[in-house]
Amino acid sequence: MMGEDFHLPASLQIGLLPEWRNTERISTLAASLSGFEGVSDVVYGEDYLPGLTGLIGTLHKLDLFAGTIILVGVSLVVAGAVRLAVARRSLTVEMMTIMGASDGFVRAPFLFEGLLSGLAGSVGGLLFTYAVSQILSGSIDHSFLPGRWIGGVILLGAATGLAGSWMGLSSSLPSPRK
Amino acid sequence: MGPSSMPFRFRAVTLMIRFDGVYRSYSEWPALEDVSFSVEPGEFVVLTGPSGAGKTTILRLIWMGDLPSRGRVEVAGYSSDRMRPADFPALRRKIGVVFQDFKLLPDRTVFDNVALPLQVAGTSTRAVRKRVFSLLGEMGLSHRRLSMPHELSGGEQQRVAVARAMVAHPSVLLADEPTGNLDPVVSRRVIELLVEINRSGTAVLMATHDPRQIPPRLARLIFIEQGRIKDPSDIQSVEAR
Ligand SMILES: Nc1ncnc2c1ncn2[C@@H]1O[C@H](COP(=O)(O)OP(=O)(O)OP(=O)(O)O)[C@@H](O)[C@H]1O
Ligand SMILES: [Mg+2]
Repeated sequence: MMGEDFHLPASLQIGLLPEWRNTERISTLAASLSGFEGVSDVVYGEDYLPGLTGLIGTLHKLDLFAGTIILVGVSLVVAGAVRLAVARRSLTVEMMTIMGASDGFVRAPFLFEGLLSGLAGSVGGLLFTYAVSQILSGSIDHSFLPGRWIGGVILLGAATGLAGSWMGLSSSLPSPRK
Repeated sequence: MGPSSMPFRFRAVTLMIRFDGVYRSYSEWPALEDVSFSVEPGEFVVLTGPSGAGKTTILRLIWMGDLPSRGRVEVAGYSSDRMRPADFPALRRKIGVVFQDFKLLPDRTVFDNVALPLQVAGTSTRAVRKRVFSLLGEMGLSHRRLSMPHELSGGEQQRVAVARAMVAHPSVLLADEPTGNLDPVVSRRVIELLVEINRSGTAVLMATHDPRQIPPRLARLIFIEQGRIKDPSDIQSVEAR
């Protein structure tokens, strides 16, 4: 028999509410927990936690940066594509202008094209991101973008495509000069 | 033309087209210099002069695809110095334009080419069909309505171009060398068509370097050379050459 003297080293795992999951609150909590009677040690990864949150912060900034670059890129690409499309259909555009087509009438098909390219771009980007995250999900525990974000990205893509085609049109539609 | 005495002011309101001291330069050399003339509603005017004289430039200033560098162009109540963005389409719907090289859209049928000015103006599909069918009938092009432009002869293409210019009942028809690419017989047919259109009340301004195509009694001649309008006494001497 081992007798009553034998004790397993007892430990408690503590789960945190989401709003408590940051370095400062964790260290405050750890400090107050250490003050409890009978608590000998509180371990919460104090050595790597600040570095990890810093890394996540940097990744978020990188995400924003990459996102901005992608948006600017998409609008430039769409602007270029629409400029090409206008050039390809220059006779149609010229004739419609001479016949008295309103600005909107001439622009509409190109804006529609820009909208579609923006939509296709954002859906394509999401699919690509999803595929990459599926591959990575074996090694890192994480979840894909929440539904609202997916809708937002698609809308943003469409808006960017629209803005891009507007830019492309403004620089290539004929207008009377002095 | 007119100083600001009352009768002239009154007349100016009723003019279809009025150029008032118009200059237009693209580089150093002016393409048009101090050009003044006017066209009354229902008139047939032939604008003539050698290549590079400025005929096409004048027509472009009329549909306001370009604005004068100096001076003023008035067309159908619109004035080049007071154009708001929405005025350009409104003015252009009162003008039909025929080009030397037809400028038919190669990827659309005859019907769709002729229908375009109406569609651009937002005419209902049913009204478009009605008008286009009847006009193609009048011009002897009904059997060609589903053809593509490249399947037509030059004369047929130019008739389609005239139909397209006329389909929306413009107040003025501009024709830039409308017979330039056509043989004499077909040319005469196109001129007869323009005369018919003019008889029905549309003002016609035709640019050509060969004014002999038009019988003098039918049209007034404006002669232009190196961007300047020559007076009628010069015209006589030119015609004598
Ligand atoms: N968009 C432009 N840019 C530069 N120069 C131009 C432009 N349009 C016309 N010009 C110049 O203006 C002058 C008049 O040209 P325009 O086309 O009006 O002549 P035209 O009388 O129609 O000649 P043609 O009988 O050969 O058609 C020419 O010297 C031409 O080079
Ligand atoms: Mg010309």
